[in-house]
Amino acid sequence: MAYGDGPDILRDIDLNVQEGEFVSLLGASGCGKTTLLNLVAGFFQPSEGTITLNGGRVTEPGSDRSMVFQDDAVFPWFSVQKNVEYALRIKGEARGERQRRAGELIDLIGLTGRADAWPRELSGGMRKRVDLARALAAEPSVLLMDEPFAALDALTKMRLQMEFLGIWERVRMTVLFVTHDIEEALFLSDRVVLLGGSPGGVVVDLSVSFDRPRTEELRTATEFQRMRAELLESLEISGTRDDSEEDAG
Amino acid sequence: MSNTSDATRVSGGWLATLRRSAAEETPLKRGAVRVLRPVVPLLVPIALFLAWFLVTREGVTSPLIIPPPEDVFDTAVAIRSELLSGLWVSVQMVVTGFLVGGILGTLVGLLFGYSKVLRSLFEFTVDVIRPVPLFALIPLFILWFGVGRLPQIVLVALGVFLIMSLATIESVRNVDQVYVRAALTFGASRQQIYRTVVIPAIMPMMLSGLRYSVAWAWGLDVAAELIGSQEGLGYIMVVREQYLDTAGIVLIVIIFSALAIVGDRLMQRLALRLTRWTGRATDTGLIRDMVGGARSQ
Repeated sequence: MAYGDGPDILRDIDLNVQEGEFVSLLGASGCGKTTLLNLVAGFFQPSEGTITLNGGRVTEPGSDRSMVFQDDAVFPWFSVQKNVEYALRIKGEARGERQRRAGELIDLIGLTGRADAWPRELSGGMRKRVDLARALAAEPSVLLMDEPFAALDALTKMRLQMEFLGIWERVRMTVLFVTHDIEEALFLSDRVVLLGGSPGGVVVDLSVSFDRPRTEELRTATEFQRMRAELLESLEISGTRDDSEEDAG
Repeated sequence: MSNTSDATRVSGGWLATLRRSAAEETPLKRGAVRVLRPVVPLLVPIALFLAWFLVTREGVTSPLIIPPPEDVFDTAVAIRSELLSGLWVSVQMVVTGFLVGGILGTLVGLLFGYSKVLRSLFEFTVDVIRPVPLFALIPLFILWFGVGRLPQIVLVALGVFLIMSLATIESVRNVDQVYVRAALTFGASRQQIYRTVVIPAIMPMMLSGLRYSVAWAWGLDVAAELIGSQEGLGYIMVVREQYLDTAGIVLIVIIFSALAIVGDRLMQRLALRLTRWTGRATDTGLIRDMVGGARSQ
């Protein structure tokens, strides 16, 4: 994969994701993890190779792959309710059905009673939950998440990870989760794929089989810490740039 | 000063707490603030009016240069029927030009954003036309469209068109990509993205453009009427000038200003109604103190 005539960004990526699997794409800045996610989203086409979903080739964005962004992408001009209804409205669902499903999702994310609020009236963490509910409402085959919690403060981030895990353990959909945070990747996923090198490729493909439902205690467990150290080491070896601590993917 | 930040205050919401803590310093001060607040904006106009009144007393200035307020009032009474019909003509011309220019400008701006073909076809031409000084076109418009109402309407429409098309193109260009990307991942089509993302996102900037257009519309109308018109307020103004009736001219200046202010306030109301989601109407506290906010009264 390359942008225009630029150098290759990703090369030799062969990744199979099972239905219902939670896969994290981990890597330093510039390793191409966000590029890979954008390719799956269909924002652009790979210069070589293909992406297939349920047997069909991905050529453009579609509601079978909804996305949660790092930036605040909740529409500020719609109320919470209308944001969550958005995907259903695009699909042309009847109003009653839309309201019912959005209502359930608003309850699921713990914003009961705030359906008529404007996004500006909510905290950053609440808006992220609205964003998630909006993506879930589309009932996608794959949920794409691009460092969704990276812009939040540490405490809100941990709380949202836990909440999101609770929601995911109930709905169990396929998730592709881009992050540069090793702990986040291990804590949430069934599988961590470490991307690195230039052009980027798969460095480590690690299966994470901690029991579910997972709890906060997992973060301090010995095995968790061992895997974390191992991934950190691989990440450092594969680091493509000096500024690997930077936020941007 | 009493401490107003105790926990019980939070029950009314932080906004209410802020408002209360601002007003509740002492009962005396609160009373004074309540009585004085509506008067404060009027202090400067009252002072100016007084200055006008004093300066025009016997012998200080010639009434030909600065007519006294009572002369202006007398003129208003004397020529009221002529004024009313002139006013009606001017309002019709400005409103027609404003609507035609506003609608076409917005449509063209949206089409530019929507279609790459249209953009590459017209962008250069529009960029070349934009800096042409509109007032320079008045004689040409009079030659083309005669001395009736049409030159004024066309000029107003052209001015508003240029402002609104530019505002629309710029604001469409500035729509935050992340919203468009989000809509795309939900399978939204180009039309759906325009309806649910682009148009709401550009609304605040479009409404500022409309407010700006209202001011320009009156200015263009006055200029066009002064140069070539057989009716309307500007025409009355030209006639008054020939009679050296300064009071009449001042009267019409006041009427034009009042109309422009009314138009501006209407646009402001509309903006507050249509963009409640931005929260500009409810901004309070230090930031609003420093940069101002939309007037909420």
